Amino acid sequence: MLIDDHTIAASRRRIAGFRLHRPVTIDEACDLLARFSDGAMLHAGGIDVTNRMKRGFLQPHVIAVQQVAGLSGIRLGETEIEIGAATRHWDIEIDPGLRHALPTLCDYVAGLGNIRIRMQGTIGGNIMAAEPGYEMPAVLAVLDAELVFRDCATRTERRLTVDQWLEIRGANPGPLLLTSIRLPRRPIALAWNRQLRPALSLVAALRHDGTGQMRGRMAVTGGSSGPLIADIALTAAGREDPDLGLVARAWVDRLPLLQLPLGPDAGYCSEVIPILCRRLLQTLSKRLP
Amino acid sequence: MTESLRIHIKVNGRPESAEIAPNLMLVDFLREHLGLQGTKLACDQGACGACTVLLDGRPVTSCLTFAFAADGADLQTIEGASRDNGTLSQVQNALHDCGVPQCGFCTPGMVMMMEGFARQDPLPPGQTLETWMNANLCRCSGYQGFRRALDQLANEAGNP
Amino acid sequence: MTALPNTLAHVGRSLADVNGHDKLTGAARYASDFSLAGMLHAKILRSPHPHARIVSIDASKALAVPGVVGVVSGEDLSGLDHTYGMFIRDQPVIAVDKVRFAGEPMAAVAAETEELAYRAIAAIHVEYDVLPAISCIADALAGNAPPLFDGRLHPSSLQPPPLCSSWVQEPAPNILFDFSYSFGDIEALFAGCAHISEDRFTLARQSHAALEPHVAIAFASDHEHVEVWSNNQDPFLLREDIARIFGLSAENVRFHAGLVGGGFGSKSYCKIEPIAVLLARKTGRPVRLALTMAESMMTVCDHPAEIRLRTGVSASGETVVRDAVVELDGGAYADASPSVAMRMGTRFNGPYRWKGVRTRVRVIRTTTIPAGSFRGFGMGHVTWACESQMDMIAGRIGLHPAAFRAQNFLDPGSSGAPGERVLDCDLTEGFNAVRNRIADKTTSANTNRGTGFAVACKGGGSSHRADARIDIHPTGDVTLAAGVTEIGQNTRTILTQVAAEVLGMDTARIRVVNIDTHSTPFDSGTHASNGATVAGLAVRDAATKAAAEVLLFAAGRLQCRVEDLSFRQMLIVHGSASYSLSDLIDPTMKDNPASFSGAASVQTPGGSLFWMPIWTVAEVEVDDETGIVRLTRLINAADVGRAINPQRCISQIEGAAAQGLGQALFEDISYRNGQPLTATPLTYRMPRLADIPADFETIILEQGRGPGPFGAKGVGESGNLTIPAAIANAIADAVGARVMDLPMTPDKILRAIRAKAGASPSGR
Ligand SMILES: Cc1cc2nc3c(=O)[nH]c(=O)nc-3n(C[C@H](O)[C@H](O)[C@H](O)COP(=O)(O)OP(=O)(O)OC[C@H]3O[C@@H](n4cnc5c(N)ncnc54)[C@H](O)[C@@H]3O)c2cc1C
Ligand code: FES
Ligand code: FES
Repeated sequence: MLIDDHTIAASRRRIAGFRLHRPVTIDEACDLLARFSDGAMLHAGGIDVTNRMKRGFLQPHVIAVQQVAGLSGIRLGETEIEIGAATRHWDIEIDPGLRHALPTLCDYVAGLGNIRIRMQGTIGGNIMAAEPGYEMPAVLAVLDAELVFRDCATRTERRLTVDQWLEIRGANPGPLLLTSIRLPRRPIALAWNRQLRPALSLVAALRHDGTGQMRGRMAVTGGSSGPLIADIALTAAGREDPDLGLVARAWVDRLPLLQLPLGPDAGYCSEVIPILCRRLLQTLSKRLP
Repeated sequence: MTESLRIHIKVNGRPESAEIAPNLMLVDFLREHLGLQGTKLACDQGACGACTVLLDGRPVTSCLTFAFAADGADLQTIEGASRDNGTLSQVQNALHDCGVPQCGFCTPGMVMMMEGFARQDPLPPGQTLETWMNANLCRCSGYQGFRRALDQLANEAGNP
Repeated sequence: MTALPNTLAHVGRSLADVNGHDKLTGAARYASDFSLAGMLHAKILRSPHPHARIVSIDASKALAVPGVVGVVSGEDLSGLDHTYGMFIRDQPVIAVDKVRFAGEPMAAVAAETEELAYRAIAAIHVEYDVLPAISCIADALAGNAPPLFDGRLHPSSLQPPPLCSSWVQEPAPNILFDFSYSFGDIEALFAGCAHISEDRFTLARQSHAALEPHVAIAFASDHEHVEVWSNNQDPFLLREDIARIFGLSAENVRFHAGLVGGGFGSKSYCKIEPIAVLLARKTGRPVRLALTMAESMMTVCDHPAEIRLRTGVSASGETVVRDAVVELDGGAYADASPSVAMRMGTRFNGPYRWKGVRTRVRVIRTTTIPAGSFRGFGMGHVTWACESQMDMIAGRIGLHPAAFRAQNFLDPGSSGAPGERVLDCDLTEGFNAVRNRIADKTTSANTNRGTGFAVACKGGGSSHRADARIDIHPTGDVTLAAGVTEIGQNTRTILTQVAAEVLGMDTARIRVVNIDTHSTPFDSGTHASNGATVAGLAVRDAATKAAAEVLLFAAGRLQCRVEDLSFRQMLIVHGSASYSLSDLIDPTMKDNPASFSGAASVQTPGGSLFWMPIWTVAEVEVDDETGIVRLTRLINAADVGRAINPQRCISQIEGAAAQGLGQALFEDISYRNGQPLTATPLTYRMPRLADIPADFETIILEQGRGPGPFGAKGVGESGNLTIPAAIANAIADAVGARVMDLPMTPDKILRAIRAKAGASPSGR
């Protein structure tokens, strides 16, 4: 979705009239989403919805969820952290509780895009926009997050891992409202590299698994199908399992990089992804005591 | 299809109430409905920040914000940035002293970004004005004037 | 800054921008803020195809949209002189019969609101017969390339070629212009050289991306008159264009220009204005045509290019002879390309001594955005290739690149080529100013850190006419009128300082008026860094004359000789007495002047009026595993003759340097399948604050030899020229790898590092 159709330039003036709905409860929002299904767009922070409307993707109904009670905010449990889907990036980066419980996530979010975007954009919008360069799915995947959805057709809750969500999202999973993101609360180290954004962005997490090994996940964002994710482990002796070079190479093969109008070519990516992965792992193993 | 709705917004401290169409963008509400043309529209895509205003103190992109989303908010625009007696604010003064405005088209957005930062209280850890300013584009300058202004502001904060 | 001694009151001071207060408070008004009662809003339908025949256009559905008042397409151009272009007029106001780039205007609609105009253009149905695209120079020169034009010559206003040169207009359907330049016996000189280097460099498509998009508001009160408010840099040139296109007398065409939100060349010459006028004439109502920034980026850009340089030097490292073969990708239409080709074609000697230089610059037509004037007018292209190659040659012959340059600099007062203006600056002094501030790599511990130099010297101020008028009012206020547009170069401030200096008065009482071609003195356009210099001279002379008018009047009133009077601080001094202007105005007399006016006109000859030299050092750190480069330090020095306003000089050079940095590292509107991929503000990467090294210094030298007022010269176009080559040279110094294609993205740098690892060490 990076290439604009220039036949008619993108503009806010292309946004035709629509019917605005401003639900205040999750149930109400769900009702509206079920009722209008294909004819409605959810509007959280509105960044992507608005830019898409400017390019001519229009629907007769817009459901603004910014006022829905319970859809934003951060709750810290004993073992779990819950972030409301409509929580703004900014509110994540400055939340004192989260900064205590999972400071690296705050730092990660603080480096996302720019301040205007973080003040307005939501975590749910970043995930659900399904844009190739957006980074939240990757970081949430490596932190073993679960996405909590309300299936508006069946009125049931669905919990999906990021990997599961990435698998089904292309297959029209029906009207789903993302209500929150749940993360395990535990010590974990996080490292990332954004030097080549928007073409490539890498993130990795590592923790002690209690058996003397360090386990974690690593993800690379850049391909149009969403982040590519792999499990990683380091033995106490520092041996990689599986071999990081192999993981990276497998990713490279799967990255449909030629879809990217921006940035370097596939050949380059295949050279640097393994290097950047290894550097991340080195940083992480140093960071984990 | 278009239904109108009534919004209530405080703009630079003044309550405004208007009947608007849902597809009205905040930047157009300001520039055309209220005649506040100081807010500039450049890229119309959220890329440049020329249209930055403060929505409940937060710098946001008024070309990507529908007017309805500002319903009930307290809005600050460039027209409200100067002191009440019309003289320049501390931020504006620093920019003036450092010779910042070139073509001036990015300037209102830059000023609002800096005013927004100055109004963060308390300032969350790790936030710097220099990284905030990275959000906005200026095509005329090499951003050094802004850096000089940031230094001046920091000095002023150091020795009030 | 190395400053001249200054006994002046206003010149040499960093007066803040005279419109700065308004710009900071949001009170400043631009053309995009302008509106007229009853104004319609226009939108353009653009071609989705890079190359196609237009089979039919059906606008009936658009006209049926309520609120739509007029639609225009190529058909509406019949009977008009409907093409434009700076020297070769090949660009139709709206596509006629054929489209030649994706994004070309096909039709335009005027409606009561912009929303309705959008709805209407979406309802226009166009049938195309799609033809093959020509996305790059190689495609255009391939034997099977489809012709973009039918081969007939377009109307032109080309000037006779400058000394040592010749040109051919449209020698082939896909070649717009072929320019040749030569002095010296080239092949004989090469034969005598100890070392000959041949290298090929390329440049990508840089966008001006000024923040304020193009806008034009037009009103035709009747069939004979047109009035336009726009943010064009050249209101007076445009007046002629509109008059010619629509068959009007120039006096009946009136242009207005106020503050402009950035130009860099994108708003030079005719652009969108004729479309607004066409719709205004068709509807009889005022029409506002405001592009989006993405549309502006599709309106004009700089030239991608290929440059092959063959350079010969003597055994001792003297620069002897150079042969440059250039292909410029001019895009679909001429715009300013012939002029760019001529300028760059005569400047491959750069700041060095040569016995012979030969260049051939061809402008190639492709189905891409028309390329036009961009800050530096081709000098950035020249400098990228030549200054990169200077380091490569130095490496090959075993000289330090700084020493190699220093040994070959032109001397002050000497001329670099037949007929060329003598050098009005000291290249060695400037070079030392930057060289002394930075350590060579040899002294740096970090092996992946390197420094690179580059030097350039651009001419400015040629063939320019600037008029100015100063009105001194009896209140003591002064009105300054000049035809230079204020596009962010802060010319109004500079001119204010010049007038204040001449009149010995407070700058706060001088008001610079917006441009109205009916009343503002003529100016041939805001280009070539001529504002401060040429318009500055006109303002100086006008102010001198206005002051003389005051004294003449005062001498009459005081019954004394003019020579016995002086005029300072708005006071007429006669011996020990002094009078304000209002003191001398006797209300009982009939001959009181409303104001005291002085007008002046300055015409500069062809060829450079002054030289804008720039000396640059860049320092980089290269990650040799990834090719990611970090610019850690940048120092620019420029000679400004005399800094009328040091801060404004610095801003110009800093801003230009940032554009050069973008060009060096990432700026590029790339094409795939004939479609521009990054011609939008979200996808076109431009420098942000974080891209600028914290260690970024600008040194202003006042070498005092400028032809402008008080010894000033232009500075607007120098700061960007050297940055790409300085960075490339620094990368080569850091890791031994040479990148010859812009922008220097990490993939290219890594490829160069790999290539070096695999190849024999041939130069730096
Ligand atoms: C200039 C710029 C720079 C950026 N840089 C970065 C970057 O560096 N890294 C990065 O990761 N991202 C970046 N982004 C993306 C940015 O983070 C997202 O645009 C933002 O988070 C989207 O949030 P939103 O609330 O505004 O989304 P909206 O526009 O409101 O929604 C986006 C999509 O998600 C759907 N949606 C929203 N909420 C829900 C929900 N609760 N349930 C179901 N569907 C929902 C909407 O229907 C819509 O389809 C950038 C964006 C811009 C414009
Ligand atoms: S105009 Fe809104 S961000 Fe550029
Ligand atoms: S001053 Fe022109 S864009 Fe910043």
